[in-house]
Amino acid sequence: MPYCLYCGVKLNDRYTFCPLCETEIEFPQGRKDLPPLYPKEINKISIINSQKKPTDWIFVHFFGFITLMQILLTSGIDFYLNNTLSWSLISTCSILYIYLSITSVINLKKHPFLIYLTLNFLLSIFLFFIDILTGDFKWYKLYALPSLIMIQLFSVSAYFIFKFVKSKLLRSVIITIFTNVLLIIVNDLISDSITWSLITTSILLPTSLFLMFLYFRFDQT
Amino acid sequence: MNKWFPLDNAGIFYPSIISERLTTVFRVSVTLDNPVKIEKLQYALDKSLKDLPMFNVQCRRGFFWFYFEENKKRLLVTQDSLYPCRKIPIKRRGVHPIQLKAFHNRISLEVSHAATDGTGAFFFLQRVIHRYYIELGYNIELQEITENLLEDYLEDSFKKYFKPQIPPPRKSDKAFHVPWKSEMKDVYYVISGFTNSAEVKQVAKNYGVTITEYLLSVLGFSLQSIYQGLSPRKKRKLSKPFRLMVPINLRKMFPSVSLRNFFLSIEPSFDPELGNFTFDEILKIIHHFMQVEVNEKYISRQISRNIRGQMETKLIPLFVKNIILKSLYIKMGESKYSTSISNMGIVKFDNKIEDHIKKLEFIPPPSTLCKIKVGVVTNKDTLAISFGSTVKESMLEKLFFTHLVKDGISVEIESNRS
Repeated sequence: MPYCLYCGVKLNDRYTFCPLCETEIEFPQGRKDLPPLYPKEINKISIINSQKKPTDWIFVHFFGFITLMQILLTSGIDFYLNNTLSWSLISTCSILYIYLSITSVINLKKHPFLIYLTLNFLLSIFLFFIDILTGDFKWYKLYALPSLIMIQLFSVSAYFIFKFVKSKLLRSVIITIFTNVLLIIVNDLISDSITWSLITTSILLPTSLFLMFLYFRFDQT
Repeated sequence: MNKWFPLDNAGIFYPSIISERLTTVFRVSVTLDNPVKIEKLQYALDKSLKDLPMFNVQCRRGFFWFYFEENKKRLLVTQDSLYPCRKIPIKRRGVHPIQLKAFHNRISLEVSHAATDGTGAFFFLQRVIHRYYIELGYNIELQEITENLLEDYLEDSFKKYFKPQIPPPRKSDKAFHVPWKSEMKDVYYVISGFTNSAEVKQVAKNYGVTITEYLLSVLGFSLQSIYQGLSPRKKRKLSKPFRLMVPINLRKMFPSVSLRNFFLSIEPSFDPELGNFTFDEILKIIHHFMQVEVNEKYISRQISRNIRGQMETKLIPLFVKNIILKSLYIKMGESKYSTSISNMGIVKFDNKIEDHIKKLEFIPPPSTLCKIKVGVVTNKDTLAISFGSTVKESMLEKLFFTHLVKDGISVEIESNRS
């Protein structure tokens, strides 16, 4: 039976290094094949996890029923009063949006990335319809779409920053500078000149400078 | 047995504080000489649950507290996982507070602390193992469980031995914690050291202390070594007393055979601000502390605190308690001690199957603040010391076991670290 030269403890042939001090173990007389002590998988799916949750199922169906009733009721009232569907289209659109976003969160619980995509897609579609229903197609193209695209850009870049930059301070420096640049671009796009972004710059720029100072200070120590 | 019964006084808080990290699940496992036959084990489990129906339960929500109710679902033997002591979602309907896992030669029982403590868990494991060998054709006489005995097993002994006139103990301050970061929430490293109990006993006897006191002192000394190795800035920041928690089995003090939680802890401590302690000094502090505090009167004081705590929070609705209790538990409970050693003592099996039992282990529950905990259990002549840890560093384990080796105790190591 091998011993660890550093710690002096006995080990068995399962290990190629000591679990205590991580020194590599040599086997001059060859190594026996022993069955593993623990399975290799973390075993995320055990019997308990795969059981269905009845509460979710009940909630989704009950919620669907309530949504249907609401749509029928509002459209009915609208049709009864005006003989056409006018304002009820807006409420129907909103109710459907709420229903779809909640059920998508429940159904896609285990896939956060898909939830993110669906929610963003739903939001843009919802805004598009609201814009059409409330009058002529005005503000969606000018304001909503650029803001949405900016938010997507920001979140994608934040994802990569968190993946590649490990230092918390450096992350916050990059994010503050990045936010500021984005805000300036949004401002320029929306109002064709730089107006309110001057105020945000005056706040965010000193903050990022201060964070940068802290980062280099801690880096030295 | 009644259709439902309330949780005992110590277990009543656990369902509210359970999370992926603070699972409050501990493991008792037994390694046999041959691979486990799952089908026979399943039969053994079914029969044991019929014998001891207090484990065949599910946790339900009341308005003020959780309660246990008979569980109609069959508890199945599951496959073991790389990391032990993972969360059992006991608040879900139909989920038992225990799980039986099998892997190669090892049978592991994982128990939520809401249901019982270590002694109760070992009692149930013994029952399952005996039943398993009966299924395999061995002739073992099992203790018959009558209605009266079952009632004794179900008793909430805290309430029985509570003396209202005794004041609660004084509050203590925060304790030192190891300065390492926890791993992801599922990860729980286990390093078990198997030693010869006669050797450990001899060494402890040479020092003039008991085995628990000796192990406690070695752990305290290792903690102090970690503290001494820190940078001066960190030392200043972390300069808090080393407080070691030792759960005491109250069944030895009070005439109770309850299979629910019936333990309390005492906390010997020493302060690094007073200077560097030698090993002998730490031994002396811990030995005398244990001699004084393991006493019915001191322990009654803690029972008084527990019961009072339950009485004071009695009228708060459960959903409010769920929000408050978790942060309170970390703030009031876990921050007060650095690490803990639970010594389960000697666990015996029937003479006819004693040869088939190779190893016995007791793995303590993972927790958020006390990142490393220790569980000790003795079977035949083997004393198993298991470190459960949520951190990557194995410094404390290394210091502990090398100290034992230096004292002339041979240690064999097993681990799930890869």
